[in-house]
Amino acid sequence: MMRNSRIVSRLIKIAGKEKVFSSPEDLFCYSYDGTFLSVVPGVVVRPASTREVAAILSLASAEGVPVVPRGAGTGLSGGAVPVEGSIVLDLTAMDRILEIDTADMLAVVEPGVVTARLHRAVEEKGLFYPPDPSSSSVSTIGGNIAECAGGPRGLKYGVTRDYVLGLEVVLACGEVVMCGGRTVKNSSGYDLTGLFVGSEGTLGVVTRAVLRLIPKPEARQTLRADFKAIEQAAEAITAVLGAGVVPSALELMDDVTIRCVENYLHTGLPLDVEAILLIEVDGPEAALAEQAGLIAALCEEHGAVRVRVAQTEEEETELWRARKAVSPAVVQVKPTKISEDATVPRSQVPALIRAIKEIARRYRLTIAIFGHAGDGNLHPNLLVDKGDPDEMARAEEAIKEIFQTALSLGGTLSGEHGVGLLKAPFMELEFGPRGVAAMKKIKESLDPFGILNPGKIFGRA
Amino acid sequence: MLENNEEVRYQVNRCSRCGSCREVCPVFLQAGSEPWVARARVQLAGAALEGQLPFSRRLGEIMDACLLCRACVAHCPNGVRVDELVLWARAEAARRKGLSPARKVLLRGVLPSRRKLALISRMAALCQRASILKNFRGIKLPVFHPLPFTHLYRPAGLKKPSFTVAYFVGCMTQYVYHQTGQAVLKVLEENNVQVLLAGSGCCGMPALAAGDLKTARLLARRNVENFKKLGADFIVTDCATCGEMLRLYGRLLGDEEAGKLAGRVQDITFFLVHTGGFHEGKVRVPLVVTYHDPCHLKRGQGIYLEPRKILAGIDGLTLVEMPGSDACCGLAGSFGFTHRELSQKILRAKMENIRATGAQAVVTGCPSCRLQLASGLAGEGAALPVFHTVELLALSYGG
Repeated sequence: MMRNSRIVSRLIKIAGKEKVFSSPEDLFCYSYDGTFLSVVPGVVVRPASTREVAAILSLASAEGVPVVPRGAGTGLSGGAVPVEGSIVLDLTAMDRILEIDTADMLAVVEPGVVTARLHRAVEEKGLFYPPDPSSSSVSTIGGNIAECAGGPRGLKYGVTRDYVLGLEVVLACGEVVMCGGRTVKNSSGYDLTGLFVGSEGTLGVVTRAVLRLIPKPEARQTLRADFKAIEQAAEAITAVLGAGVVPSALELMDDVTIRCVENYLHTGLPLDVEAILLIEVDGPEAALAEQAGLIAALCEEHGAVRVRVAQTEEEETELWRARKAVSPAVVQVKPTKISEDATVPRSQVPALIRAIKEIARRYRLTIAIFGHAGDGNLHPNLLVDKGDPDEMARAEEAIKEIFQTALSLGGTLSGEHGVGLLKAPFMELEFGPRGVAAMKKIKESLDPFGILNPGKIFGRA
Repeated sequence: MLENNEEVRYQVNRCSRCGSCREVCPVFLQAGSEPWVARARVQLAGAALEGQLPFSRRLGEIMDACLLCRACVAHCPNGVRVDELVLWARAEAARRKGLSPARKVLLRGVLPSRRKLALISRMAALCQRASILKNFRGIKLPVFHPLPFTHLYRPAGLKKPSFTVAYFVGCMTQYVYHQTGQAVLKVLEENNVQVLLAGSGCCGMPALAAGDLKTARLLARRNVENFKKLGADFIVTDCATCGEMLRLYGRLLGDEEAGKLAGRVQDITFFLVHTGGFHEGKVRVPLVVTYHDPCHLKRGQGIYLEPRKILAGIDGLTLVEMPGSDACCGLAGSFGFTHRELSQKILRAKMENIRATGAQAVVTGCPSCRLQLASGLAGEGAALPVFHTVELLALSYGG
């Protein structure tokens, strides 16, 4: 409960009674995101317009109350987990698609628009918004921008950052600024747009976004290749990209993942291989068969024991079924899964996988590794039981080592989930004290009172 | 049915809080904020179990605003039984704080009494003849009968029947949709199945859904005794909700014998397709229809191919599928009356999908859904009739 009931009544004045929640039960429902963390906020408000967001932020500034912006609450780094006594800004009520401009190929949206809804809306007009985090059926564009979400299409099409042309942002004091615009090219002034993307709600609140769209690919084709050794799969990936083919998805499942899925689905996945690659190409229909044939040949050349090219839509669905079943399959093993997204340069993928397997052995943990091998973005999933404190402690140590390994291989803590609370303690490992200090200076100049999502990225003071 | 705290805790712990249910929860899709989504109900149940939150009025409101449609359960990557957690929370609240006075009267006073239910139906029928009580809380009510179905209709005695079934006549067929009951008798008799009428009372679902386990068990026990006396090969029902409830009796009563009887309960469409078999009719039924999957039939009992198979065999009939045929219609028993606005919003989405098919009639397998769909379809444009699957099969048998 908000200790300061004056703030609650001011919020009611700004947004209306039915948009402000302060009962313990309602607040509890906003205490978590997609991680296992939870902190109960002081009050929740669902603003309907930029003006309301601005009024809320200027109130919060004046009163020194922390504000935690939130979309669908599906993030995996704790970015939307509230701070005690904070105002949670639930932006899902601002969910209008304001414009889809086919001539300039862009969309203007509010932050609460669900990503998949935008996908459908632009695809109806023959356009394409590539970022597709696995939560896209429920995640919001605002949340995607805040965490710089990615997805399987990252290798060929890039991530959220690459599709944000302009933003309307409310700053901590309640001022509204516009950055970027409606052009693909823009080299005037500082790239504030780029700064806000991935800033996890610590620098400002995005209230409107101009998103770049591209023409929708005409068709796609999927194939699956099974490899006895991870190294062979990695060599095949290098060969495919070296041949000038850039797949629209290049997903890897390791042996632990394969076993989990096979136990769950019983579709006859091979249990004697170290890696399965699912490869999708898209583009003009006429070119696809040749590309798929080339990929299949390269995979075989690099030791694939089996390659299957989907000839029909049903076969394609069947091939993807195994990958889509990973999440339900792995939780059959243990109830809690901690999904990491350590990312390394593509060439280091085998080294990272070997290292994670060694870490799993040392800490007596089950770690299923799958993810976007094409862009080096792996998802080691630690399968644990949060009711087992000893196992949770081992998991914590293992995660630390995974981060250290990824960084030592020239990688990063996070490819697409963001730092949030979970990775905050490791920021100095990646950027050093000076790098973190430089980021803090930016934070302090835009948010001098530290009211915007405090504790995220930099850790709790 | 979650039997103890460990089972509740297990279900809560399976929730990874991924939020996938935000895509499918019909209540959330209308209400829009987190407390109204399945994930929140799971987390709240966990908090109440561990004593972090009391069984407050607000908690009750949130738990009551669930249709038990199981769209979330079917969609959940971890298969969390959200419906069972909600039922547990409702029962636990009732156990700790007692039922509300209105619920007490309805569930303990009226529901178990066949005499009172018949009296209410008769009064409703009389009112409707005097042109009152055509609507209740914004829902267009169907026509009530002054006499219950089982008083008016008797199954024929067959010489050498292939099966003997006990027909559990649910309240809606008993007092409202006599045409469904007549169709069930006709179709079964046409296919040489001896029908025994199970002197039916309520199946107990309204009590279970309201957290009144005591009344639910009382009714279950009574029905079980009744089935035992009849000793039929199978128990069939025309109501998706009754069917699901009867099949729960074993777990509800924690009784092996009840469990065995529950295992012999079959929806009429399932019985026709898999057990008794049925012949195709000779009379053409030239209709374009669309089929609505009741939650308690598709997700509750895994029955969705069977009604379609029956419809496909009817000469002249064309089935046009609507998008989201298995999305909840929004009635969910008393929910439609207690949460009128929400229920009507959910119904509106359904109506759009039905209208878009251009069908001349809607077919379904649950009389509650039928009530809601008929009310919605009467509200706008040309009123489309709603049928039970077996009614169309009976039509094709002619006579």
